[in-house]
Amino acid sequence: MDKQKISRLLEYLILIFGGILMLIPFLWMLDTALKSGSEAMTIPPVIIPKKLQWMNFVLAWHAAPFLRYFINSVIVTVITTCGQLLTTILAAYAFAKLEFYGKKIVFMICLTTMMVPGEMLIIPNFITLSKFHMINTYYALIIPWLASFFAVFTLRQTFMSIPDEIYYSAKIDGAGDWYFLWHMLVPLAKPTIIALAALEIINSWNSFMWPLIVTNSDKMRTLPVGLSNFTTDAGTQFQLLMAASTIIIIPMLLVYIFLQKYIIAGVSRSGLKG
Amino acid sequence: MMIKKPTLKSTLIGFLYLAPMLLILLVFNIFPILDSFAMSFFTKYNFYTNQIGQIGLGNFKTLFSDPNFWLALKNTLIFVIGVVPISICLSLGIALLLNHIRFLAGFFKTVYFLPFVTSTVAISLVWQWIYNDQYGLLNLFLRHLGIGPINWLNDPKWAMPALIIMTIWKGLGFNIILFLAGLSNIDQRYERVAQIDGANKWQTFRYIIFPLLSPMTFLVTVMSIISGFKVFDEVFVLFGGSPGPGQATLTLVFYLYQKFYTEWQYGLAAASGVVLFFLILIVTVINYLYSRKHIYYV
Amino acid sequence: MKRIKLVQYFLAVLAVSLIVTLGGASTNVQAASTKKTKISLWTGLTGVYEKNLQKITNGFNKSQNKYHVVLTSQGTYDKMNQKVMAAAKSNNLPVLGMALYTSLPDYKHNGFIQSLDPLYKSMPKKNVKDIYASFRDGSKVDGNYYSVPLSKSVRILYYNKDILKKYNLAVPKTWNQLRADGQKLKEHQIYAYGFDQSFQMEWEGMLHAAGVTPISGKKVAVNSQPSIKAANFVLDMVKNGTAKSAGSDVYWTQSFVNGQSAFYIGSSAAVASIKEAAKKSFNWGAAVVPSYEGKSGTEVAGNDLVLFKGASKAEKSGAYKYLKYLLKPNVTAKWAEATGYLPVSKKAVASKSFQQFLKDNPYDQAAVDSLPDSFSQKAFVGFNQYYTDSNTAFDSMLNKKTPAKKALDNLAKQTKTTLAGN
Repeated sequence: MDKQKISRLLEYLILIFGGILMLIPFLWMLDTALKSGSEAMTIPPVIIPKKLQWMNFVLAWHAAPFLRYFINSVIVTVITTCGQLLTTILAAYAFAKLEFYGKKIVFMICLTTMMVPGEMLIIPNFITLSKFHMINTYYALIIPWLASFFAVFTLRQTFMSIPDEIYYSAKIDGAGDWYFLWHMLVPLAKPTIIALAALEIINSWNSFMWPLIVTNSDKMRTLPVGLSNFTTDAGTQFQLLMAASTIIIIPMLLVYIFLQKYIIAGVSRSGLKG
Repeated sequence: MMIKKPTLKSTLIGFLYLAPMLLILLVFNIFPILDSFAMSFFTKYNFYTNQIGQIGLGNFKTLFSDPNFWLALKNTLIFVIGVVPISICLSLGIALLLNHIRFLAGFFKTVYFLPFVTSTVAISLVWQWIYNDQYGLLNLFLRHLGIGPINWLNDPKWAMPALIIMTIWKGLGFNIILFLAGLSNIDQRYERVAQIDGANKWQTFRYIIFPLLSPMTFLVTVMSIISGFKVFDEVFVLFGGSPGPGQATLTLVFYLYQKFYTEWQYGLAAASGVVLFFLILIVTVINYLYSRKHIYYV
Repeated sequence: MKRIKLVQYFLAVLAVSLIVTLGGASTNVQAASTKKTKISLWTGLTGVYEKNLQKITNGFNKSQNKYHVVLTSQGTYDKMNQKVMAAAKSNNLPVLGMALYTSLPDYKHNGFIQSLDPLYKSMPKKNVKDIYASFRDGSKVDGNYYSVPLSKSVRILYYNKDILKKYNLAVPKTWNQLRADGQKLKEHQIYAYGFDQSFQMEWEGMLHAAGVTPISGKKVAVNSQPSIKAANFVLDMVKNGTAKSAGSDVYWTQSFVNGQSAFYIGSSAAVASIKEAAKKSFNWGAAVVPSYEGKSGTEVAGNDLVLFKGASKAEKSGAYKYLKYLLKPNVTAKWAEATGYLPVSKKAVASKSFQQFLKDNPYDQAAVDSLPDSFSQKAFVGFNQYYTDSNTAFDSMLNKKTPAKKALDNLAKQTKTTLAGN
């Protein structure tokens, strides 16, 4: 018993130590967000600001049409994530549980899409979208991200580790592929699907370069674009940049805290087997 | 596998399931790849009017005779070797701990995920402060250990380690969440059965959890390697838009970016993209072949 | 059943979101329907700079019943550059855009931009001549106008008054004095001279003073004797600990306001950020850059406005009107007062309001005083490549201790290849 307690304690100590390392940069960011312009630049750095500058958050919020950006970010993130999950679940099922001609080749070809740096894709995709007259619309912000092979790959790995026996027992009950996928596999793979959703939500939310390139007006822009308001060619307003970054993170944190309890829901608890 | 032999009908069904993803990938990923493959062979090429003067290997010749390209290749390999193993071990360890504890588990999970949520720009500025040679937090800490001030960001020797540390820090959350998802997909009864049979913790991990987790470990490894080869944003912001002191953190994608967006050498940029592509492909295929023997699917 | 609910919920969310998207996309189309001819303008300006240009543009739009200029910020300059590239390739360029004057030859070479000779010809000669010569030089490619100067700055010398007073120093008039001050300050562990990530612009200023043009036509003089000498002048100061690079901080501003150096040579546009970063107790001033070998030279940096290809006739005449509006002395003075950039014409500088502004903001005087000795860098086709190569060269001198001769010889070789290739 004692031995177990000690190892528990050790586990927590490691986690706390690591947690502090994870938190420090973040705390510094918050700290800077509350400093005055000169305090943010002082050497050696001021740890506790003389006066907490809550106004920075207000100033940062008003530096750009953040409300409009916020609405756009929500729209783009929700649709991108839902759409991507849909294409992902279907494709992952095919790769994990179906047998068909050309499966390996198609899989390899799709895998290669992960090997090209995004910097190479910007211009060709811009041209494609401009041919479809989609520049400066939500379509341009959403459609290219409706499929991610990384997500497909991840879900395929999870689907593959779910035993085939479940399929046979479902077959006996008269279930087809479609039913089996949505009513058995998807619930079983829920932790992975939720994890993928969380990752895609964050990716989409933080995406900066793409929205900037494919939109031409504030009406279509998203939150991270607003961050560039604090950097000019003469310097950066650190305190405002940090305040705005903090504002942008908060919704993501809430979403993550909400989603994470689903990520740990394990197989044995779903009570499907046995 | 459930259906042992593919038939025409099963192929049709398979592609129906793949269709939505394939359509998007074809238009927005595969087409641009082919496009830049073609461009890498165009010499005397006008990018804007699409006039192709010649087709040949000129770009590759120029590329391979550019010492900066080889430097970028070397730096990228060092970066990947520096980041991937540490990142995977750390994230696996933390994921196991997080999966094991109950009290405050949600809080810790959020804390470890925080870096991934934060925008790269803001957090890189914070790291610039942490790395500052005179008053940075890291040097403050090291001074207590008797290690004297390191000029992390302006010394060519230390720029790469600085980049590696920040990248590991930023990427941990991503790997942890994947490992956590992988762990929660493992039936906990396997673990219990093993413990009833008298296996200790290490044995349970080594013979039960690790093999069952291997599909996810493979995935995380592949992903980490690929994103390691593609590192760019972190360099760009940490070193103020430069490839580091003495080009110490000039990576392949940074090189590509420079050639493409700063220097307007489109053919050369495409050629470096092609080289990068095949490099990643080879590493991934090796990884894949190795994993086929070692991955355990239930 | 719980599981079915999840799927239904998921599909419902998807459906709702799609409807929202379609709705949102269609409202976007409506927005563009105004009767006036729309003149789109892409800027690389952010924050207050963008806001002030918007204010000035609003003034123009109010005075017009045929044209309407629509400003869009494309983020910072490097992002803007990527966007221009993508837009040029897909024929989506706006009517007007901001561009570094050093990229004009490349823009022209690739057919991005149209000549602005008609604009300048339609202006009274004396108004054209009223624009500072260095700005006009920067606007020309092979003798033809291609841009209108907008956000212009020069290099100036910032000094820390407290340090000068404490150690009994004067503002250096020459580089030799700056070097001598370095020796005095060294024992107090204060740098004499702090510079941004690289001292390349100061080096170019020194070369200009010495009568050397780094690259003109096909002639490359980056590794000439005077060029190497000038580079070594600064490098020697770095070596003996009297000068320092900002390194990855990019700008020396922060170190300057914290008293790490007595002097800082940087952009005149940095006045605003120094003001913001400085504590109230911090006493500082600004002056013209020191002279080198008896002569002075301070390099012009900044962005111009260009007219992109493909503009319709109506758009073009609207663009001309707008550009002329920006060149008006009172408008350019107003812009300068709001942003800290330089007014582009002598009349603007002489104007009452700007003179009053200088009285209220003495820090901005130095930049204006620098104008007679200012010069624009000579750009050429392939300048983009030279830009990377020269950055690498200066980086290796500073961070890898590569001897100036070796680094500059290599740069000369690369530049010759670039020039031959274009």
